[in-house]
Amino acid sequence: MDKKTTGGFSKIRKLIAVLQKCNGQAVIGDGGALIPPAAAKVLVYACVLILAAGIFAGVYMLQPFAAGFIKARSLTQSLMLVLLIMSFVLAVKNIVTILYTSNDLELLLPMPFSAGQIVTAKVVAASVFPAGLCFIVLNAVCLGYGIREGQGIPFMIGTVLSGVLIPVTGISAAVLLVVIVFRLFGFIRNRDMTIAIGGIFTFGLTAAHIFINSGLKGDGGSRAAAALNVVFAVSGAFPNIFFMNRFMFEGSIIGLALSLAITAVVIVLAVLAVRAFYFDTALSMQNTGTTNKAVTKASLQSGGKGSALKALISYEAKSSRRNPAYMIYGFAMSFLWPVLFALPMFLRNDILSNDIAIPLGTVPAVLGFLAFSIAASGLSCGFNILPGTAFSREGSTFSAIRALPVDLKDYFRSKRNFSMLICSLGSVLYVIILGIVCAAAGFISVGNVWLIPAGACVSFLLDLIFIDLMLLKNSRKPYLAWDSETEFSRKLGAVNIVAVVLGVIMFIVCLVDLKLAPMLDAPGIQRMILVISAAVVLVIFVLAIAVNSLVSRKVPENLMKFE
Amino acid sequence: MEKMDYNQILFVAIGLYTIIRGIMILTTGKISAREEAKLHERKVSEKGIRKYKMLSAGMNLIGGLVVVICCALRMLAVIDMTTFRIIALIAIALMLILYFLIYNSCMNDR
Repeated sequence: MDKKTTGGFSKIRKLIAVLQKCNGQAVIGDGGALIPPAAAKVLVYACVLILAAGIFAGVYMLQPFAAGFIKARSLTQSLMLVLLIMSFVLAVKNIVTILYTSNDLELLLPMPFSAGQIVTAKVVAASVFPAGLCFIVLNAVCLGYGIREGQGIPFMIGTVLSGVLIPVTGISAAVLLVVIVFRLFGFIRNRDMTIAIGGIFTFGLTAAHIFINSGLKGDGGSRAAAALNVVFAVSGAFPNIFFMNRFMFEGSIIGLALSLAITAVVIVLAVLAVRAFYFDTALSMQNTGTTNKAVTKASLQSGGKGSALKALISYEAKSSRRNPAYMIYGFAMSFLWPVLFALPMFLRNDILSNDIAIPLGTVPAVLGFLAFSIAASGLSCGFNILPGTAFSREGSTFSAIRALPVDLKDYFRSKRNFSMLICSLGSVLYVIILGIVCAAAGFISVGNVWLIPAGACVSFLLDLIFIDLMLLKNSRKPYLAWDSETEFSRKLGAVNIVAVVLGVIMFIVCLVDLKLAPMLDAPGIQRMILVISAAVVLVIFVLAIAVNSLVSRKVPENLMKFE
Repeated sequence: MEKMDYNQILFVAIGLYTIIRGIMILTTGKISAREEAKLHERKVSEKGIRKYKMLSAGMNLIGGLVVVICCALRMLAVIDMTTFRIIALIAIALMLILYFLIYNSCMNDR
């Protein structure tokens, strides 16, 4: 037997299978399969083929119905953009897991693999699924539509080529981004970055949705065409898609060459970034990423000259960021509740675009903003497990902190201020951004712009009430004897549930208000609503001050008494 | 063809997802971590685990196929609604009984 044939390539293949298994991915025809490996592979290939053929046939049959308002070019270009973004997002998730958080480098490096083989295997293991998905969907949909429409040979070549190039570009861009972000920001801060990017993405999505919705009028087909046109216009900004489409629809060879060149450049950049940055970042993370650092007096005074409160807040921020619960909350805050807000509008497009008179009158605007501010605060605090677990999270370090010469009032304030900061990102900031978007899109008139800061204030005060109550509840009986910090990330307390319920109710009130806006401007109702709104704001204001002063006194007492 | 509404699309998507899940269990032998933990906790034998995986693969496949076929029948309007509902109810009842019979035998296989 020639030993050289079992060289580099088959070694990488085996390593890929091992990596997939180690990272919890299912391997087809694996030892655990219920049918023989060969049969499993045949079955999966057959299913993929049937699925692709099904999509192809479906698109082929539907083409004549859609031909009136969807052209092959806009469909292809839009689909390419969607798949590029999808492969990018999927690849980012997989690459972070397989390249950085799998903790397997210590085992892999002593094995008889070169560094290049390990990285290649890791990147391939991370990109099999996104690449396969893009290839199948793009080819099935575009070929089905294009063949029925009678497109030429360049279209076919371009589609098949793009089926490979689009995911490769997306994955390379993802590798490039992840490697650079990890290099620049390290591990702990990287979680914050991810959350911040997620938040910005969601805010952007909501803003874009409102802008697009206010621009789309008409029914069914024409609206779909208008939506597709928006995506089509955006896809022009991605040069690889733009030039590939010039080749596919205008037969421009230069377009093909440019598209290939752009993909090549992205790949080369990704390879260079991996060579330069990957191993030292990943290895340094192995040493520092998962260990818990003990609390010392020095770590509490890390700010140096600042006051005790400042040092405590910085300690709280650091310890929370190391906690998995923070990550889960961060995810919920950034994605979940704004999505809950946007979802009904995606399902029923007419809520914002057709029925209401733009701009809103003063009374519907006041009621809408009040309800939305309360909903934002309720949902943002409701999904937040940080204040509800503030003292429990300390675990065994709780007694050490109590023994330190710090004022327990400052300790409470540090917890409260940090929680306020996190919750305000999800509620106050969201109210402000959404308000600005609404003003820019013409939903509220210039005279009513004062509602934006007012709504933000209401949201802030309500955040304060909820957080104070959660801290009070946790300080009565902190649960310190836990095994794993992830235990917390699944538990929501009673205050959280009340906040979520209030948030959902107020959210419904907000939607009803938008729906009934023209009726609310009648003089009799107008006065009643204004009086009720003013009363609600006053009650929230008084309650916030009262609860805050009570809780600031009560919590240190509770902490002192706790054994 | 009857007018297709959004519920039908949702059901077809759920059906397809279930079928894909069934095929994945069949070809990889991977069930959810929670199910693994439950089997482990009850000290089910290797044979029992295999039977359980077979059962969940089969149930996913059959369930998915039934949902997809039902949606197709409704969309094509080849069957009237009363007959359709009776058949669907009987099918669901039979499948549930079968499922629990095999499930219990798996769980007691130690």
